[in-house]
Amino acid sequence: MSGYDNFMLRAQLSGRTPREVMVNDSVRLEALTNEGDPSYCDTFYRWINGVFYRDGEKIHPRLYDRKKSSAVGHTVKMKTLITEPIKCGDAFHNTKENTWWICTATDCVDDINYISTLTECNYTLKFQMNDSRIFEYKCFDQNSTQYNSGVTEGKQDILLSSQHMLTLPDDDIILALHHDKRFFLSHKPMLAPDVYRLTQNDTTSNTGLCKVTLTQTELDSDKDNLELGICDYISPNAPKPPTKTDIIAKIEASSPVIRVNTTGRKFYAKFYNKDGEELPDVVPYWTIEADFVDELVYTTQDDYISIATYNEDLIDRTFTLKLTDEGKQGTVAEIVVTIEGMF
Amino acid sequence: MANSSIISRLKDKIINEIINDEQFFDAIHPSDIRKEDADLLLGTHLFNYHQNPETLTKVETFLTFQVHIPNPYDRNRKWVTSSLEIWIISHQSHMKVNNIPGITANRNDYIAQLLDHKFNGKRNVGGSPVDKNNLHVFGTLDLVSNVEGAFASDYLYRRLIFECKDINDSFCDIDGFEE
Repeated sequence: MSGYDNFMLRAQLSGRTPREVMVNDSVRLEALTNEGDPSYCDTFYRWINGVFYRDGEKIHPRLYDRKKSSAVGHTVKMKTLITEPIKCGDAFHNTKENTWWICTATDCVDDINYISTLTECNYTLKFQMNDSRIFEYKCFDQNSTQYNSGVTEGKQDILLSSQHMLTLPDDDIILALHHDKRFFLSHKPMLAPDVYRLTQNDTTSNTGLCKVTLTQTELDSDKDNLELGICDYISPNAPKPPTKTDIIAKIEASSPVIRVNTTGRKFYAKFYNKDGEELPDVVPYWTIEADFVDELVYTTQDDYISIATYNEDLIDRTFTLKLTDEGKQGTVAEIVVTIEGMF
Repeated sequence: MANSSIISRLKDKIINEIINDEQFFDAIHPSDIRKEDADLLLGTHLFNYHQNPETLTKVETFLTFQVHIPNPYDRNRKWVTSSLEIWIISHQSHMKVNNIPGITANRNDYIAQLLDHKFNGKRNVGGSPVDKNNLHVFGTLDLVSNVEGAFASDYLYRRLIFECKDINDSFCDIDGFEE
């Protein structure tokens, strides 16, 4: 076989074009030498943010070019194989150093490997959504207070005006964070609580990243849970243990509060099977547990009960509304309802 | 009433009537509240102080309520004049009443008309079917001012002032307040 024929045979086996040959050769070479390089890190894992935060799959990066600056924090360059794609916003955990990192820039170089820039996360943002789920996200936090010392002095008072900018991944949870959502931005809230509210959620800065601006605000001791480190804390209802029945009752209402002298509140009955599918034909059975039931005005329709009251002496009193199916075969859902005045 | 108790009572009952009136709900036209949950307008679109504490991120209308007792009604200071100040504030893109057929007035003017119609000349406010829960004023609640203007960039207002009389210092002991 001539040298040319040999070359063409190898080319056909390695790729259709010289570029493909070189790329495939480089990919194979990278894979062979990756773990033998001194810069290889054997303790790097993807980090999964959210409710059940944990280490994900292990990756095999080479880390180099470490830098530290006050503007962009502690950064490192990472090279990974083409089989381990990296996106902006991906989070990682180095279990040996116990440090967390967020990818702030990434490039696929010549289809051979990925070269990314990681920034070390210096804060864990903790918050709760309206459905009571508590989330934790590793993020990079930098002080972005503008043109003042962190306070604004007026004639009668001194107001807080510090600002921080957090770099977070732009997943559905972070994108859903709304203006005025409040967070603790303090490693030890019990000792020195610093509370901030969201004033800007910038999703245009980079694909995969959100730049969230927080402005300092006041602590609300009635609503903020210092122990858990969550602002505007919602105490979750204890989940009922699963039962043998296939009918699971649930009460839905826009608010568990009834205001005196208004048309009241509607509480809707929903029934589901164990697979989460709604059961539309179940007839609800309501129970009101209160020693002032006679003072409540209630009417029931097919799938809801409407409750109102015109007795102002009941302001700040509570009662329990229970729901089960008519045959009492299913679970019992309950909600504690509070009677309030106008304010 | 007396001893400034009219301040909270008047705000309370005025807002109560507004919440229970579907016409006001349609006029305010909130984007994220159902009509059956009209009481959720409190703290989102109706405020019993002169401020909306939330960052304004949506095109919407909100009302603020204040009650002042600026001066005594007579030289003997037995009576005072209570003035109820209502601000209707709308984003300029929310001024057109496109959700109620037949209304050609802008939203601020329309809400002001509803307020005038509902409260001007009234002797009792609250709207509760239980009359003892309503506020009975001395004389009537009278509209004395109705002006409009620009509140801030992109926001317009109309301000109404109603006045009524109240006793300055109660002639009797009031429960919960010691002499």
